[in-house]
Amino acid sequence: MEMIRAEQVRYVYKTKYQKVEALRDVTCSFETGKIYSIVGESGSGKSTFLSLLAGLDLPTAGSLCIEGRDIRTINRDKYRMEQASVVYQAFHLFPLLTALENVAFPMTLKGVPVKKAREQAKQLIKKVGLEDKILKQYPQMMSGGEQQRVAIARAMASGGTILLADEPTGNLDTKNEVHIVKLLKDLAHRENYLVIVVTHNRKVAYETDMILCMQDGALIEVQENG
Amino acid sequence: MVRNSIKQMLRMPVRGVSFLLLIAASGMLLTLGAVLWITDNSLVRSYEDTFITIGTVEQKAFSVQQVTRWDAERKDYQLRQKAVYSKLLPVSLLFFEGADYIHEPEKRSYYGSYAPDYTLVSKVNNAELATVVAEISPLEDCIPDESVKVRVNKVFFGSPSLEGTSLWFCNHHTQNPKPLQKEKSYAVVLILHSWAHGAHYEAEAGAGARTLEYIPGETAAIQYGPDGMLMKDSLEREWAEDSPYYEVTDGFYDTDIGQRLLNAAKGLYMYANTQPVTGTNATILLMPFYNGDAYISEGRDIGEEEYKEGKQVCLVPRKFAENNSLTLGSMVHLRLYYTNNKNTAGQFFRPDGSGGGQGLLIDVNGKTLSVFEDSQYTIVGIYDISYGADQGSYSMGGDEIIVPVNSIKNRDARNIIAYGPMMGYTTSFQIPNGSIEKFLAAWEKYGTEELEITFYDMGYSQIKSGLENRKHMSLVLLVVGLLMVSFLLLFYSHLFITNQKKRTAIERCLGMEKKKCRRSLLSGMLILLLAGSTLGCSLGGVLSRHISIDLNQVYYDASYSSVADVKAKDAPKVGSENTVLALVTSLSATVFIILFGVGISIIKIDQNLKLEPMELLSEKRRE
Repeated sequence: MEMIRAEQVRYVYKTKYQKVEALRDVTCSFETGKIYSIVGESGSGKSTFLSLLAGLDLPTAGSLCIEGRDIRTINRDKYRMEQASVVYQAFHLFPLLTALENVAFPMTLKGVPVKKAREQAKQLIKKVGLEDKILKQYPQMMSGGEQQRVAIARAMASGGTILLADEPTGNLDTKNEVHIVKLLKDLAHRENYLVIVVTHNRKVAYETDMILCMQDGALIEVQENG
Repeated sequence: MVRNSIKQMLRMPVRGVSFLLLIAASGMLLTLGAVLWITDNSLVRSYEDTFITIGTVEQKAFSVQQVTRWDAERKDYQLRQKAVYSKLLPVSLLFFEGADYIHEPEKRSYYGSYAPDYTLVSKVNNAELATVVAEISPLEDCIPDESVKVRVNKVFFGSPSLEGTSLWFCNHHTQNPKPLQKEKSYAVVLILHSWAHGAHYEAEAGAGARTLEYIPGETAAIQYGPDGMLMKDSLEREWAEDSPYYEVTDGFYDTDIGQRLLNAAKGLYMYANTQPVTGTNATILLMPFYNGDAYISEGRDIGEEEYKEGKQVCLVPRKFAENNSLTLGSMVHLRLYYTNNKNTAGQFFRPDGSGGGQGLLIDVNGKTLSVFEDSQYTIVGIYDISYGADQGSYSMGGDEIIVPVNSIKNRDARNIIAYGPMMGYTTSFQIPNGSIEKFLAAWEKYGTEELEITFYDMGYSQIKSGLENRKHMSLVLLVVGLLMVSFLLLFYSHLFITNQKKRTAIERCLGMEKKKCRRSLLSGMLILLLAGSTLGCSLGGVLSRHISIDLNQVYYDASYSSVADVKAKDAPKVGSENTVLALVTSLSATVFIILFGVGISIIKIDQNLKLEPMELLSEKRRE
């Protein structure tokens, strides 16, 4: 099912001295139950596109529809809270909250009672393959792989089905990279998530269902993996 | 959300505790400085109102002259020193450029009011014995160059019981007095003088006996013109006469001198029924009121407007009010008939009823002085005199009434019986507190060396300088407190907010609305701010109250211990006001710190929120 559709999306931002066209007429669509990768050189517009997909900014021109509704017309805070989550290369967990509290955070934000949120958070942590001992650990006490799993669990905790990942394996060793990619694939294929991964890593890209190649802000190629 | 925020704040204990303690310390300094500064300002204002600076003026004698006078007892001339003035300087010399007065200089007169209807303390004295107008005859022919015994044939003024008795008489200050003949009668003003002396006395009373003698008084009038010049007596001849006693012959009392003596008796009778009245422009210019020896114990002072407009209101001494059943609002009948422009009433009318004479109180034509001002005054205040405050010139006189000088319409140049130079007890003015140096600098330029000015400020200069120092210290505390608060809020908002911009970005990415992000970041800091500022400001309040009370007490003691009790009621209050002030200030300081902190936090949070979350959270800048 088509979840996101981008039509002629342009994005221009201003720096101190000039205007930069970060995205140029990007047209593509994303379906649930699939994992996509966006690849390209630095400055190709991958992260900017991800930022628009996360509703953190709006296209300068063109349309970006979420479930058929233009992103300009929807409550983007609510969209991020309920539908789309982002995981980052640097994990970005709250350093002063434990793993459990980090994962429970999006639920408490939505008003889920603390106790219930913690229960659900425990299950999500288990789901991403972490043991109970991690629950009370602070991010700095965990390995990179563990932190990224917790970040994915937190993304899942929002209850949405769109997971946007910005270089999720960038700071991980090969073993953890494999685990995380598998986890993301499982989310797409088993849990029916729409997973979009921005990556430099060709190995990761080849694990996804579809590869979108970007160059100088334009989508130059869409490649379906067998 | 708030819970998570507080949780995160609590998990930075070093930052949290240090912020709490430092904000408490700066809140304490801020409150302490503010309370002390406000207290000091209010104290300075109170002292401005309570303290009074007056100057008294005295004309310096041009030279001292030696004068001689015969002393019959020592059979030799006695040397006396007499101050000589080049001329009597006018008060107008005190009006010069740079002289800033609250109450302009005045040279006060006191007036004699003929008050036969009132009970006066001076009536109970022995004035009637001290000066007598009588006819006397010697018991034998004699020359009164020593004490001789005379019989009192008739008393015109004085105790009637003297009539028919004998007393000792001596023309004490005349070397060769006129002889007295036994069969003749002489009219004379007798003045009680000193111990009787000489061969006659010792032969009769025995050596070592002590009896007072009378000497003959002058029969010439002492009356001054408005220019302060002594007026010429119509009997100038007698004025120079050494032996002012006159043989009574048929028709003597129809003669000028006979009439004069009878009028002198009437004048003395009036004097015995005289009540002193002082005219002024401000009660505080009277030294006894200034130094607290006299104070209004009932009713009120005469108001500025009343003084200015010359309203017929007065202040009376308690004893006079009690002796005459007068209360506030009662009317006092004043009949002024002489003016003394040289002395204070205290020099002649003592509160205990004793006092001295002031000549014959007749004019230069030998007539009795006529009443020149006959008015009714309303009592607005009753004053008391501190026990033991009788200091002669600088004291209030017995029964002395104070009135606005402007209320005495005919005050100028009427029946002036004494006129002298400006003296500290008759001439004074009031200047603003703390302006002595400025005044003296101007006086240095425009004044004259013949006038000596003495200032009294109740120690205001020292206290003001102490308070100014204290004000500066409290201002330093206040500024340091403010700077500390500002610095801490900026520094810690950087730590707690700016440094947490990634946290804000994560929260935004997780869908937290901006207003919730604000609340999230603010809540933790606000709790610490609230706790720290409340703790610090309360401590500051308590501390400042104690310090303030202690210091104020020091100033209070320094300021009022030497001033009469009456001043104490005007003194700045210490205690309860400080508690309220400390409470209000600490509350205000707490609110200020919190609002300031919230303001800075919101600015910083908004700066965080302006940043694009993905940009912050991505490892790379925009791609």
